[in-house]
Amino acid sequence: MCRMCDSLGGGDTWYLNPKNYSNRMYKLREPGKRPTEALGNSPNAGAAPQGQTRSGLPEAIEAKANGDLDTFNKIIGDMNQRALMRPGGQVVPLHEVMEVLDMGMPVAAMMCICRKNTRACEECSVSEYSCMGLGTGMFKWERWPERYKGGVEFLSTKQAKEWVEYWDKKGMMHMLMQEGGDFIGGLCNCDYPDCGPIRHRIDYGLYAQLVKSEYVCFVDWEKCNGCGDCLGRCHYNALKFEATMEKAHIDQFNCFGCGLCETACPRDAISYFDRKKIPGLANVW
Amino acid sequence: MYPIVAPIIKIDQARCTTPFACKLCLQACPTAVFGVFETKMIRLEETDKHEPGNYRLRVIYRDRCSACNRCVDVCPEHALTVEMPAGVRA
Repeated sequence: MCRMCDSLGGGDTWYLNPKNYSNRMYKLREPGKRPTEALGNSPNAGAAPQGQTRSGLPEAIEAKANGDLDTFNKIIGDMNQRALMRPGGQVVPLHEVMEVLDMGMPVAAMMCICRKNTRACEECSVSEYSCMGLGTGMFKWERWPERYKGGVEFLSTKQAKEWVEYWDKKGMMHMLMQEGGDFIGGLCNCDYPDCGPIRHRIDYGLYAQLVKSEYVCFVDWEKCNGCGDCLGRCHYNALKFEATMEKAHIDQFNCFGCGLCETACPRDAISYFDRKKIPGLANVW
Repeated sequence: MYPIVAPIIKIDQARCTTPFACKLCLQACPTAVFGVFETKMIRLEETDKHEPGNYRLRVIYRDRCSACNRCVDVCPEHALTVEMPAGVRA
């Protein structure tokens, strides 16, 4: 059980609890409370305001780039402590995304904001949208700031499932995110390095922002014939090809349980195991 | 993690005026070091990407820059320079 399951799950996995998609949850947002300021959003991000020192990711990156690892580790540690107080995003394997799509309504495809910021991608039709919004918040999309807008296309549950499968086939992993408060409002299809949360987790160790999934993938070496279809689909440096054994190998501690290797395997040699039932991995988030 | 010294990337903002429409360096960078952000946001109004000054190119992940100079090569306005800091042997 991850920390979101403890606080929001009600005894079960938090994203399988329909309460977290409900209109009531959305309205529980405190009035006047603004979503956290993302990296580089404010015009003076990177420069500390007069009279005070800010410590965020821009400062940490600047310290690391100048070789000052002590400052970098201190800022990242502080950020992790702060982020642990709030829920974070979580990696979700494809078969649970399907369950989520049965619950969260309405479902809409939308432009990826990370890819817009880091690659200046202008996704302008539904075939290119790689992010997805869930729940009542989507009805307000026309009032969003233009930065997030790009375009929104409402999908039926069946269309949404096909569409997530399409991105899974392309090699994008899936993650759930909150919108504002604890309300689950986003289902992203992401890859490294364009996606902000994956990048912050892998490159800078911000483990509280993006939590590993409830599963770990294992390779059954009896079934694996070393065809290599799964290679190149792992975004987390967990999947490798063992040259001497001629089989795929998954590092359990690096594995995020996104299941991209599982969906690619033609021989069902890769399978999910419940993280909390494996003692050594139950606390590896 | 071992200490690194990252290259210094300078963007001549007077030359780089429409980065969101040009986007060559953003898409050429192997490690996605750059970011492009609106300078102002007006509610219910679309930001014109061809209007100079509406978007601004910024270096957000400088520690990931390897100074491969691909961005310098593709920039049509010669607005980018990538250098190692003084005292670091290139």
